Amino acid sequence: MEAVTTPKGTNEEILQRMIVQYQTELLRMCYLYLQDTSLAEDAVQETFLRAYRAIQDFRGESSEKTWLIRISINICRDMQRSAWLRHIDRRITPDMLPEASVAFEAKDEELIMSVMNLPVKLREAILLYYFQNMSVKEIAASLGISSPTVSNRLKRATKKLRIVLEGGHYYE
Amino acid sequence: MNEQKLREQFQHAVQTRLSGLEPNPCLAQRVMARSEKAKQKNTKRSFGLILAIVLTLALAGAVAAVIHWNVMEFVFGAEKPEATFLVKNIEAQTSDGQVTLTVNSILCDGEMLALDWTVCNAKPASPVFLQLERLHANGAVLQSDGNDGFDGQWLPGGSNEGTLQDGEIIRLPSEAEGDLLNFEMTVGVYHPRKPVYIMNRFNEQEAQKKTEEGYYILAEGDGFVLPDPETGGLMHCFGGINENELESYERTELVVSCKLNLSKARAACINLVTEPHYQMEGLTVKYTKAKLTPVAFYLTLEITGGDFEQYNTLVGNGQFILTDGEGTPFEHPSDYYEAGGYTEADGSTVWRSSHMILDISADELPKTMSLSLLGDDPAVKYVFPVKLPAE
Repeated sequence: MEAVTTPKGTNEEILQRMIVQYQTELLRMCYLYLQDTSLAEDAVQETFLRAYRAIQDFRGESSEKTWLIRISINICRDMQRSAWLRHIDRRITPDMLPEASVAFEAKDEELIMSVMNLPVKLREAILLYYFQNMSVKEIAASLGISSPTVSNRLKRATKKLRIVLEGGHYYE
Repeated sequence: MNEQKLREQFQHAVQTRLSGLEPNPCLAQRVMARSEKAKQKNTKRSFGLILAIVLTLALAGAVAAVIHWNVMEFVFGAEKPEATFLVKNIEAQTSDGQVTLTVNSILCDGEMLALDWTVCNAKPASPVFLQLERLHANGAVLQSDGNDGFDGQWLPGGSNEGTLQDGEIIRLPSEAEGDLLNFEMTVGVYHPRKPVYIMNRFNEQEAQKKTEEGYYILAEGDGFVLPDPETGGLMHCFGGINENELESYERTELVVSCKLNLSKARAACINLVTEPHYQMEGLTVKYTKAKLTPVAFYLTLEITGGDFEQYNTLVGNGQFILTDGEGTPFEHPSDYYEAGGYTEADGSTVWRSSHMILDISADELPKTMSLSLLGDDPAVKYVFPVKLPAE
């Protein structure tokens, strides 16, 4: 993760810089979590709103990026818990993914699909560990669970991903 | 595939396949506008209301601090009042003096059983390997859904914390059809007999040296350091406890058991109305389960009267999907599904498809639905209607 510093500038300047720096990455993470583009956009907007309101309280105890990731993961979790989302089976198929603007290989799509089709608890661990490069301890703090629980979920998720990536298959 | 390679591959996949997710150029303005709007609203609140909110939050904080991990949170991600009567808070605890297993609560609707548990190692400096070895209900072996819980895990693993908290969702077998359920969970705890040497990264030379000095090596908080039969050196491998290495550990066993009375759960279950059987290309189709409980909706369908080749020919070019009575895919597809061919005790063959949707009520289901076989060719559609009973 990044070095820990306290943000400099006016609140508006800090917000604009953070948006330029982190918006795309947070959008992709929220999309992978929520499996829906417009929900992901809402989550990112809410993330920056909460961050903007709390800039003066941010003491640089974690990196700015970790702080934003924590906020957005909490928002995604709240959205995921909403009755509407829990009632939707979001088994993702390739045609449901947004159109790519650069060339990609079939294995890239397969990996994205495999991650998105993981159960949410395993998916959030994978996103924070492999995409956001957070440590097990940081993930545990962000998700409010113990480090062994994070390790356990990572292990299970990785096992499932490896089955897909290394040629296994699920029935049906 | 190693961890670093998986990380690089995943990050590359996100950057390419999700490259179409574009940033919003007006986001900063929108955020500031929303913040300004909220500020204006806030200034209109009276002091009394603010005080009330502060007091309420303080109270809520106090309540939250005493509510621990519970099975509702684990299964639904929230409280579900209409299913509360199906929860039994058992607080069953067992310990071998170092490791304590606590099953906090159990949720059972007669079809599935969910439990939340905590395992705590009181001596984090002495890691133990935990293995979930048996789940039994009325003597029958149960299978976890595989998404939660653990099958083998060091505690502490890759950290210094000694607590592992998670849960299991288990479908009950036919042996558990009565009103009484005896449930038992057995966890094997493996204490290395030698002093444990912890390596953050596996290094064969260092592992070799420490092994010769009489240490048990735990590398990267996971797996086992064992002799490599090919090189004669040491290797870092994963999985469960190797049977040939059992003497390296002192094994203790943690067993938690409880008895549940399922009569209330059975009484709350709604049985759907099905035909005794349906026909499909000369084969017999029958629902063996069609139920709605306060926890979930369950449908299991069996095809009999043929052999595996016939079943595969039919099912191989399509899928069983939850649909309405016309064969239109249902807007809430399954949370859990399995399908496959089985040989029964009498030698006959059956093809079975089971589906479950968690947390759905009768109001959200169509009056007629079906587990339909929809072919890859849209002309192939077999619908087997079931109905909610008339009120």
